[in-house]
Amino acid sequence: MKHDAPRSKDFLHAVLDTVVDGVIAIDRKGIIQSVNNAAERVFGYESQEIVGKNVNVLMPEPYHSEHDGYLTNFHRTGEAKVMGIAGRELFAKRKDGSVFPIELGISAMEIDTQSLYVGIVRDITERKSAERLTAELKGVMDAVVDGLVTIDDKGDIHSFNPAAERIFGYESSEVAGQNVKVLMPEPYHGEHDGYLHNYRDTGVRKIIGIGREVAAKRKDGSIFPMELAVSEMKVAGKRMFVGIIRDITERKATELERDSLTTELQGIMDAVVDGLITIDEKGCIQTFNPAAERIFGYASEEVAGRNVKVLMPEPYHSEHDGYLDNYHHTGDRKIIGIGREVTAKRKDGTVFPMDLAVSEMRVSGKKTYIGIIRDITERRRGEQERLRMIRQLKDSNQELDDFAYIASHDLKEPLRGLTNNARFLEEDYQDELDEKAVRRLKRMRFLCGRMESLIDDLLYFSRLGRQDLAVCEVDMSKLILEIKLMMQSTLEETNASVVVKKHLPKYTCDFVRTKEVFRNLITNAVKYNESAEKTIEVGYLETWKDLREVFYVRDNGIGIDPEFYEDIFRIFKRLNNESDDSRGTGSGLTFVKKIIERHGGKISLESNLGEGTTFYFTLR
Amino acid sequence: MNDKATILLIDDNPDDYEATERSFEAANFANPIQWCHSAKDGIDYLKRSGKFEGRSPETHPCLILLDLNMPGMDGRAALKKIKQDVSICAVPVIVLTTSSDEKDIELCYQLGASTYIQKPVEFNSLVAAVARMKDYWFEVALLPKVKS
Repeated sequence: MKHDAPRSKDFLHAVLDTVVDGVIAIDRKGIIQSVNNAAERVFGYESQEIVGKNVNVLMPEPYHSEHDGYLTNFHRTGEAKVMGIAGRELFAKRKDGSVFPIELGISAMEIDTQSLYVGIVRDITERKSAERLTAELKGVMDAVVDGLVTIDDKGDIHSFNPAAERIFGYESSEVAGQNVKVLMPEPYHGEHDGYLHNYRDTGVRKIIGIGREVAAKRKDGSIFPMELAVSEMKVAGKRMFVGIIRDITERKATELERDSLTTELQGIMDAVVDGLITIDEKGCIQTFNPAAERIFGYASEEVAGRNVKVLMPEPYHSEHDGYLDNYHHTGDRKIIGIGREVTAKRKDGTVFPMDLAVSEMRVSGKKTYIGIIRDITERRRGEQERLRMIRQLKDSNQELDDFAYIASHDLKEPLRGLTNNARFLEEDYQDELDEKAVRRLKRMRFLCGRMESLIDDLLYFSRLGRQDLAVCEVDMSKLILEIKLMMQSTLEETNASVVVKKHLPKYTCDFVRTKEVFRNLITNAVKYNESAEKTIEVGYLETWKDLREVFYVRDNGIGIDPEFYEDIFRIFKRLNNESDDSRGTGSGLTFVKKIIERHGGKISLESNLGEGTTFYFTLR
Repeated sequence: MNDKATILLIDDNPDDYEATERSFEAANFANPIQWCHSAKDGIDYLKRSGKFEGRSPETHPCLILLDLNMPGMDGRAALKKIKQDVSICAVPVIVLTTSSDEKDIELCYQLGASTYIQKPVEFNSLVAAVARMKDYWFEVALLPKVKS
């Protein structure tokens, strides 16, 4: 540079003008001697505007004011603050006043005996903003709740953010540089290298850009489910992968619970015998369980989405939309929460009766109705069968009634004629008939009377079975007292006494019929009794054998052979051969049993021949 | 007491007719009895139609004894006919029958029967019943006057 000054100066200028960095030369006082093209561009000044000015015009405060001081200080002490230190980062100011970051290198030189400082200035605005971006990115990485892990194409971990540290339990420093498979349980741990190779060789993406749920391993060895999304990027020309990780242990647990609940619910829906159908607020079928399929004959897929009215016969089919509208507008419940019997239509068009209960619920915020359906065809059939039986029974009762009527009238009419004719014969021919003939005629009339009694009993028995009981609360003591009064003369004549043991309770029964039961039992007790003092005891027991609330009538009469315990209740059955005057029809105990059974009670007896008999009975 | 007024007995059974006749006798019931064997005859008699066309108005009955169970038109139908015919409905009808069926009793009173008596089987009871009937209808009650 020294040997040919003017030429070398031109050459230097030419060189300086081509370099990309700004070059500024100042003298010892800080006055700018020259600037190259790059410096003009960086600072926005023309060369002539700036040459001769103090270099501090290119500096923002506080450097602007302090720069003269630096120079003075440097000259006095030789202590360099910037000189010779390459790449010092500072701020500079453009002509337009804007401040920007620069990298500054300064060297001192002598040119033509003049001491000059040459500054090389590089505008690092862009580099700085890139650095800021990196810092921001780091901030973001540190702040996000998802774990972020970057690895290179060999799988080595390059970065590991705080969330990843928290998730895996590793410090970033512990895993930096380690292969990412330390974070994986088997079999992924063993296979991960293979995955990477495979991707590198084939480019087939298994996870990159896809994301999936995988199992991961914490530092403590525990395994947990995580959601992993992997992206690929190029960093400084190198292939890197960034994994975004979310620990989904809790979500999984919730999902699992929900899944098992759903499964359970599905199981229940599949298992119940009742049909379950859900519809939306427009009436479209949403679910249709197997029982509903069976009941209606539709497969679930056939009806899903169709309006529920396909399951209804007319007129409901046409009216159902109206029902729904009406309910939505008025809130008037016709069936929801009430339930009723309705008719429904199967796929094959047959109409059947069903029980329907409807509830309303919200599913994911949408109004849904659930209908529970029971096919009651069988029940209806059962009911009809029952009604038919009842009708039949009524018919046969009517026949019985007719029979009773026939017995009372048509059988009695000739009987009356018979007895009257016998009488008239006796009256009209009394002079011609001898004693024997008169006795026979009397006998005929007696037998006619007996036959009439039998017919009357038969009629009464048939009525007992059909007439309703007039049930009310009966004072049993009073009832027995009435019987005693009614039978007073008989009791006196036969030297019989009726004793009531303890106080009898008030009891709900048919007064007249119950009185008949006691009267019959007491009459028998007196009649079939040969004791000099006939004693009839009437009483009440809380329990007797397996019976509860038991009434009894006990006598000291002739007793009944166990052989006849059942026979005695048969109509017209008599055990003893009695004289014409005292003999009954043999219906008393039959009426007693019938009346007791009509009350829902039972009758039983205990007896010892020659000692007496006790009849026990209940009235409910 | 009017012991000349006819009593109309409508009963298909000759035994019953005889028994009734004898019981009247036994009860000193002097009124003549007109016996009709069927409900149709009975109504003809009342209305002076059919075979009773032209019968003397003096023989018009003051009381009717009616059996219920008869072949052809039965007593229930006859009672209904009598009580629905203004020309004859004023004559009291005593139902005298073997039936003691509650339905019959209710129906007969509904149709306008004045009394319902179950025929006793025993002749003495029949006599007693007839005697009381006579006492009531001819001593106590007043009967519509027979048009002559």
